[in-house]
Amino acid sequence: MNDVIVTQSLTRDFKTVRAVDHLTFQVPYGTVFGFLGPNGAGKTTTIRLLLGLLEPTGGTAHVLGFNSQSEGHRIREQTGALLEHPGLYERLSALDNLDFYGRVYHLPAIQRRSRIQELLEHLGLWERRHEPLAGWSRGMKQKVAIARALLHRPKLIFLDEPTAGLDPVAAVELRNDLAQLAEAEKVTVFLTTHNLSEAERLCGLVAIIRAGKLVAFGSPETLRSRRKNERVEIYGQGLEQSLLPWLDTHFGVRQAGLVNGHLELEWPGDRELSSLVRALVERGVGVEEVRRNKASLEEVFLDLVVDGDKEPYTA
Amino acid sequence: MIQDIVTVFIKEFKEILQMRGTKRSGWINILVVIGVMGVYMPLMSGREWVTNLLNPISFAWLPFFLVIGVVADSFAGERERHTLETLLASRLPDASILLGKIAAGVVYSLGIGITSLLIGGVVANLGSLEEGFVYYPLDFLGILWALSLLLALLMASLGTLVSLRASSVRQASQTLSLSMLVFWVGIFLVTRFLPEEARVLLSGFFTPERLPMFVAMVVLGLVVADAVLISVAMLRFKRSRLILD
Repeated sequence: MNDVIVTQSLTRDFKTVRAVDHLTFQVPYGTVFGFLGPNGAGKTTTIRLLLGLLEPTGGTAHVLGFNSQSEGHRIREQTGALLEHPGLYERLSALDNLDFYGRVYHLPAIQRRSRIQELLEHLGLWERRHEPLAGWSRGMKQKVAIARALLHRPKLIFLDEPTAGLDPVAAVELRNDLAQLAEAEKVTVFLTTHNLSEAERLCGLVAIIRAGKLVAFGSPETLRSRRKNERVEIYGQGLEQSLLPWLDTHFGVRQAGLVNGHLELEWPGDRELSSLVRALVERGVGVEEVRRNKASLEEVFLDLVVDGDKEPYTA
Repeated sequence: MIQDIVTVFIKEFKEILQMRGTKRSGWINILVVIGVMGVYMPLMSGREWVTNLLNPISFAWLPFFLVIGVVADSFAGERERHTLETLLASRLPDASILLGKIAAGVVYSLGIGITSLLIGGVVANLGSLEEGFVYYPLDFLGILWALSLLLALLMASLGTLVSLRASSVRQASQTLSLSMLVFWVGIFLVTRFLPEEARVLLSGFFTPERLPMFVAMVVLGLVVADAVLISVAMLRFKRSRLILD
């Protein structure tokens, strides 16, 4: 079996609201899997279903080969989780918190101590291990929570928006730590995030959900390449506002604008860009540079999530 | 199972000790209670503290009251501080979480009660050592500890049950305090307005010869009540409900 998570038409209703709607996807072993979606899309509910904390209304989920509904305890034995909140006991020290979870997972005392030291040293927190967590920054608490999730060397960890609420510096630091630890521990990561560049950087595979439904699934590269338009930037002399209606009339380009003196537009991926450059030159524009940008995951995400009427990607 | 209960118990106990900020303030709090109940009061009573057993009998209630302050925090506190979901997402079985939390509250309150009682027995002699050392009868101590344990367990189970559903520690504390108020007002009203014939009947029943039978009935009643409350708490412990609450 090559997949660590297999869901089949997984569905969960809360009274009249369908939070998760017939989700079907697979996550292979060893992947950093990004589960993306706007607030209320059903990401946290999906994690709860996969951990066996909630029962599905319909469909099935198998995690590490165990049925989430009937074998939730087996799943929780072999996974680690950093959920919506760090979930740390703030009256206690980092050492006490990790020691508690080490005991929970039946790590022998010697192994527990060395593992806690290894993780806290890696995260640069070993010197402060005896301090109560109440006075720590959110970034430091998140690091301890990640250490807790990895403590018992699980095969799979669930991280629910681990960088949410962190300042940019702390977020980058945490992301780097996470990438290094995931690589070193050879653990499969199920990551939900709002941060698209984070997903692009860390994830080998992503799924995008909207209103509980899967709207895209594949590698970030594949999803980007499926985007119909590419973003083009044209630099030069004579770029004026009057070009915009002309672009619409002659080339059907509706999404265009002048930004800091250069022209930015959405160009259909199936058309030759040279025809546009030639026409611009003929109109007296002194074209100096043309940049073709690949669509970012963020643009793909916005296409799918903000403009819901567009065709879904099925990579 | 036992290992998991002990794991939860150790964590809970550490948290109880640091409830007031630091371990030191937690220990000071304990020492203040022991100072009042185990030193000051026996010192004031003198030898009568050990000879008139009605005084230390009130100690059976001490753990009962002390446990309220800690069990209200058990689940409602975890929910309030956003640690409950992570705990539930761990491998710990339901029963271990529940029993570990109950055990921590009982041991904490019973520990203070028993320590105060034992110290009090010694302190009560300090003013009259020349008359010889007297201590509580052993059978009395045994019964008192059993009653203390069962009463603390009763309150811990009830408190945990309330804390399971309460949205905040304050709500749990208020519910428990209110139920205590109703309980004591109820007892007061019953004793105050009991008809004279019933009083005579009861006083005829509570004779020294019948005391062992009466104690046995109370112990049995408490055992049953404890078992029922713990069973109800186990039944109401549903991970999905706890998360969605």
